[in-house]
Amino acid sequence: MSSADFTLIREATVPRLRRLRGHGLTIVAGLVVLAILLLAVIGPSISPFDPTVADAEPFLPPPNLSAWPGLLWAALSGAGTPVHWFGTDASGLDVFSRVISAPRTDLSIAVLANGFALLIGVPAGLLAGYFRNWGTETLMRVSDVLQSFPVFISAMILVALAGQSTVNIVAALAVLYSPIYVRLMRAEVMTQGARGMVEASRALGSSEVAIAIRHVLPNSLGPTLVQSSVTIGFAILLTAGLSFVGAGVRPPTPEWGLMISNGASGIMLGQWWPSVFPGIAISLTVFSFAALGDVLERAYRS
Amino acid sequence: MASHSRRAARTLLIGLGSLSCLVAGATGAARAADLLLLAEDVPSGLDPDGPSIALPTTQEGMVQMLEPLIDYEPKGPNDSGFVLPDFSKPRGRLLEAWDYDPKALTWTLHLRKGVKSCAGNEFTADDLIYTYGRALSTSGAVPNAWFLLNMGSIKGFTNDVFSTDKAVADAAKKLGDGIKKIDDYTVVVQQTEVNPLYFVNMAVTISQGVFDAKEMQKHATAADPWSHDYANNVNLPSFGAYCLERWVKDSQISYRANPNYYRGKAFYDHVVVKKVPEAANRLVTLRTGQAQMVQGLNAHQYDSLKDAKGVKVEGVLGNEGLFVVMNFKTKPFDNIKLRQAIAYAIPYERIVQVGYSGQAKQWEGVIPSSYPGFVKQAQPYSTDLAKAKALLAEAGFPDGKGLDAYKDAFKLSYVSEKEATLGPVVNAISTALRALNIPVTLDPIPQTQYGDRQIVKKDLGFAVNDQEKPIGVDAGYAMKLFFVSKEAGGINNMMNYANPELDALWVKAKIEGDPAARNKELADMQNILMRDVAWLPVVEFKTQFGLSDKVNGLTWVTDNSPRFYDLKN
Repeated sequence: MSSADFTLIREATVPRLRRLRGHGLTIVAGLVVLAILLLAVIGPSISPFDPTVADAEPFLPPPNLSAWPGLLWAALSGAGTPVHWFGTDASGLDVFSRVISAPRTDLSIAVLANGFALLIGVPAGLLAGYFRNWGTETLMRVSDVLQSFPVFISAMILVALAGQSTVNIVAALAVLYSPIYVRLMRAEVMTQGARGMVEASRALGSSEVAIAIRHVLPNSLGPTLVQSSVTIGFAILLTAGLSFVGAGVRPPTPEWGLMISNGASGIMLGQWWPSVFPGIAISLTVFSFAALGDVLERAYRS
Repeated sequence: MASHSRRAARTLLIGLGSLSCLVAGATGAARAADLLLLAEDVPSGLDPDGPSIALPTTQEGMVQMLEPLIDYEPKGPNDSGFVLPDFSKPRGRLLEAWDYDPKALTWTLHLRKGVKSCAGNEFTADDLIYTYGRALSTSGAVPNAWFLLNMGSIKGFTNDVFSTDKAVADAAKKLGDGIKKIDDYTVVVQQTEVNPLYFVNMAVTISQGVFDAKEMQKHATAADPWSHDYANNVNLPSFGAYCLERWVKDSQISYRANPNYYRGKAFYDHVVVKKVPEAANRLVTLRTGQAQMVQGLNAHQYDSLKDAKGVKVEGVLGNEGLFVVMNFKTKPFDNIKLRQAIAYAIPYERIVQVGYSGQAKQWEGVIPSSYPGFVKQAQPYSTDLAKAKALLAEAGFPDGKGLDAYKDAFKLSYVSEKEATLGPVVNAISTALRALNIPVTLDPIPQTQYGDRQIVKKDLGFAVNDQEKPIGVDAGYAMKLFFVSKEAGGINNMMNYANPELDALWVKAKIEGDPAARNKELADMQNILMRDVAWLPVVEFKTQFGLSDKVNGLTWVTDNSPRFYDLKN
């Protein structure tokens, strides 16, 4: 792809993003995603308590809302003892520290899984879309079979077979999400393949492989990159779901799904905070990634 | 904030009232029941030698219908209302009386007359002979009944039944002169050595309860001469207080009071046990008054019932305990000093409070403290981090240095289905041990996997266990079950503990005729086990039930299953 091509894309896209910048929802979603990314980097370092040390009183409720300004001021000014802002859970673990430390786990798994899914899906989609033969047709049918199973069930089975570890969760999610990229990439490559630039390259004597890599691939990446935002959101949800049913990360790792699962039995007793706060965090995150994906898609389409 | 929480809880309870309606509405029978018990499951089978014998909910079903030979006089209620037994006062149930001849090593059992089964058959010596014959046949999935008779040194109940030589095994499976019928109401049982466990084990209903032989034989087939299939899937004919009315596995079981029961018909004519898998749903249904009894809640949930109107919680520090398994075959747990260091690092009081809402106490021995023969250690392990550090250094790991090489060994396994109960406990343990640089990670595994690794493979390196209890009320029984080496006849020695000194003491204690000398030997065994931290006893916790405040008379039996017969309004 030449620098002129990039300039063209930038000129076409940037004004549209600028127009969307005024959209409230987009701003909120962007800020949440930024915050989550930031927490994934610094969350465990800024948490007031060690998120895996269970030495506080169990089921401490969060402080009353009216007490928050005073407590916040005391915390910011360095006075007073650290506060359990979101209360503590059944083990005496600080819920706030765990909520802000969890993005490192959830986002790492989601981003890595999405990255590996891209690594599998993009080349496979390029092959399937550009070089259409019995081999690539077989590849597509394998991809169809993978997509025909419910993702959650398949993920559970894969993790159960491979063993319950973070690496295996990443691998399972990558395998299960890669068909999305295969199909998206293939469709886009087929569109690009019919364009004049491909014919022109052939006329200039470029090899098919060179045309596929140099011209078709860069022009087909847009939809997959847009899809990434949505996939990361869903991967976070799936990671949390796996942990919720006991097939995900192991306790006491701070992880939203695990926190919801462990706190669920207390809801009936009025102890809502161990599961509601991670629930809010996960909803906000998934929604924000999906909203961002929507924004990017609209920007790309227009 | 606490009042906010209570308000929130109330709102939730009202909101979830409809859920309890669903539970009750699921069965018309339940609505009409005299007593509705909501449980985590219903019996998966009813055969004492069946594959599900280890499941508490299966045992709970059996004990309502099976009648034991003896039990213990009630001692009176504890402070929560639970009626406790007096283990020093055995009383006859199906036995009217018994004589023991120490010279001849024979027990003469005088059977109660006029006892009738649910089918109307009269109890005679033939029923007891059938029951013992069935045990010796070891034809079921698990030789549960045989095991206790073997443990009691009954003549003929030898390991030959498992011989690979078919002729030897077949011959060993036939009742010889170890059990003799004298007349319809007298049976003589011969022991091969002095052994008090035969008598103790008679009270273990889930193993030694007596069948209605006539009814069982009606359902025998050529392929299944001891009617295991019938007992496991259809009915358990016996002489107990209740008769089976309807049983839908995985859903519901209901009982009718035995009209012929020799101790008088039960107060509750009709009892329904319904499976409600979610503990919170059971709790809500009890609070709304649509069930009279619930079980299987965690300590926090029971605690929440204490202030509820019309509901009470009864509990007993009986024989349930939580201990840590450290496998002697897994390095570095073969290091006694390291084991002791860990024992001094455990935050006992925090576990009592966080894991059990205060409804527990530190376990200061290796057998239940409610059992006769329990020896409280003069200096039990306590939370003493300085001592733990010193012992860790003596073990060759100063400040935990060198333990990183054993990271895999320090995966603390526990049953993942018990996360609500065990989660706080394992978090407290791992927090305490990590403070000493012991590299503990948590390893929740499914119940089936845990059971397989504990009982079959015996390869749990480091684990928390809260599900083992000796049902026979005897210190020797408990130690033979869990600590005697496999070579010396140990059964459930999940730690692979093998100490010739302990085994030799057990050989002596097993046949010791003098009770004082036996108690001394059993005490020495307990001291050795605590010294070696054979398993690390952490807490004894209460066996609890939630009840309508109109239901009284709950009695504690060592299998921890309530006896519906004892319940009254």
